[in-house]
Order: sequence, then C-alpha cells, then structure tokens
Amino acid sequence: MTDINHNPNFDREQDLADFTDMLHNNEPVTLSENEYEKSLEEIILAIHQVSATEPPEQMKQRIKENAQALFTQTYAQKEEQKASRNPFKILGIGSRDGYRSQSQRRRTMAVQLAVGALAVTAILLAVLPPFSDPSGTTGTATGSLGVWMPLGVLLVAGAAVAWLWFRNRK
Amino acid sequence: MSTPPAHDEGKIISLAQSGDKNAFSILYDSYYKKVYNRVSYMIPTEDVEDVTQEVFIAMVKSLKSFRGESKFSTWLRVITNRQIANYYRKHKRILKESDIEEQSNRLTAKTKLAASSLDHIYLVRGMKELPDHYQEVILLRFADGMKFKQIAKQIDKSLDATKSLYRRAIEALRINLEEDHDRH
Repeated sequence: MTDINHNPNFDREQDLADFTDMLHNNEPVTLSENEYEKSLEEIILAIHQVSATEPPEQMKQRIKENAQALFTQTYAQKEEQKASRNPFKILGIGSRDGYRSQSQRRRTMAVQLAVGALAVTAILLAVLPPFSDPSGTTGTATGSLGVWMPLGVLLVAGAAVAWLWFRNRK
Repeated sequence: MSTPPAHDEGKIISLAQSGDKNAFSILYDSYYKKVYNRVSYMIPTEDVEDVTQEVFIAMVKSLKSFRGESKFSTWLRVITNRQIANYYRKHKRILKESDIEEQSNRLTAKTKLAASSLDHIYLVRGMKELPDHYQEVILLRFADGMKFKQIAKQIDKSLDATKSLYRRAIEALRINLEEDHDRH
C-alpha cells in the first residue's frame, strides 16, 4: 500500500475536493483502504449525512405557520401605524370605523391633550385680564404674556412628553 | 425547493417587504432547508427546531431593513449565525460530558439511530470547537451545498486557497472528533 504522506504524486486537497464533489453529485463512493484517508472520508461522510437527511415535514410546517402568523401580524401593525400617521386620524377627526388598537387610542388621546393644552393657553392669553403690578397700576399686555407664556410652554412641553411616553410605551 | 433566480428573487423580496404573504411563503420554502442544515450542524438535535424558528422570526422582523446591498442568502446566513451565537450565549456552554451520558442512556441501545444520534452530538461539539473560518467553509460546502468556486467567491479567496482552507478545516474537525471519542 502506498503511503500517501510520502507520495509526491498524491494531491490530498484535490482528492478531498473530488470526493466531496462525488458526494454532491450522488456518485457512488468507494472508501480508500488507507487508514488516514478513510478516516477523513468518514468524517466527510458523517458531515454529509447531516445535510442529506431531510428535515421532518411537520417541523417545517410548524415553523412556517408561526413565521407566517408573525409576518401577518407585523405587516398588519405597519398598516395600522401608517393609518395612524394620518393627521386627521391622529386628532381623532374623520372616520372612526374599524378596530383601533390600544396604542392608537393612547396616541390619539395624547395628541388631543396636547392640542387642548395649546388651545386653553391661547384662550387664557386672549381672555384673562392683565395682571396688576405691585405699584397698583394696571399691567400691560407684555406683563400678561410674561406670566402666561411660560405656563403655556410648560403645558405644551408636558403634553409633548406625555405623548412621547405613550408612544414609546406601546 | 431551490432558490429562485436572482431577478425573480428581487421581485419576491420586494413583494414580501410590502406584506405579501405568498411572497414570504416562497422565500421560506426556498431557504428553509439551508437554514435548517446550518442550524443542524451547530446545535444539538433537541434545540434545532427552536433555533431554526428563531432565525425565521428574526428574518420577519428585519425583512423591511434588507436593502439588497448583499445577496439575500448572505443576509439570511448572517441572521442564522447570529441566532446560533445567541443560543450558545444563552446556554453558556457546549454540550457537557453529562449531557452525552444522559443522551446515550435515553437512546435505545446500539440501534443505528442511537449511533447516528451520538455521531451527531460529537459532530456538533467538534464543529463548535472549530475556529469561525473553518466552521464557515464546512457550512458553505455542506449546509449550503456550494461548489468550491462559489465558496471561493463568497469568502474572497482563490480556488486553491479555498480548497486548502477546506482541507485544513476537515483535518481540524477530524482531530476534534478523535479527541472527543478518546475522552469517552
């Protein structure tokens, strides 16, 4: 028997490559008598056996059903999100038909709160009488703005934070 | 089912990204076997289903972010490798000696099934202990069924260098398996 480790004409890499090509082409495999080579071939056969085994059909179906369910759910949510980006729907104006998710309802409520806060601030600014300053003279419009504007900004900022919180909470 | 031609695949992916369930189903059928194979080489039999499912769940979640900058098969391969890595991160171990004993006790004695199941355990352990580039060349060859020319292109090496890497990988796996067998 030729010792392949000392045979200059033996191309082990090519031999291994040809061997795995044979496996992939389903050609008959003849194991070499050489112990070393046989061992490598056995390793290749053992590796090949794993991918040559067909996966159980039931497993394939189970995974497919689960993946498809998630796929449907994911893309249904995306459609919902698209619809909820419609400014009229965000404000709760227009069609209220169909199912609205909890997160959509929270978002709508938060936006309505923010808009409401803005409106209340604007009304207060317009309606409330100017403050009197300590000297007893009537305050100017500038004085009134000086008090109500920061309050309005605070209200709007609070509403915006609430909206972001609701949105991220999902 | 084999993977669809590249030009068709692009359309199928676009349809799936827009929510077409049939397109998703085609992608699943095309890639299931390759994902399953890759997972089978790296994960103990009892967890193959769970990890394969995790791969497809991750695929659904990230499908929208696939921009076609790489081949879909390459993208899915990265997802699969990540899920395999996650599995080992969670388990924080490769199969221990006690697992092998437990498994061999559970298997009916000396049947062909028992032998092949134990071979699979050793193979998974041997594969897991290989360096990444050795693992990858074996997986590309056997799990993905690629020819050497395709592997060379995939890993950006010459054909000769690829065959040489493959030979070294098989040799390293043989040594791992022998050492593992010697320990038992």
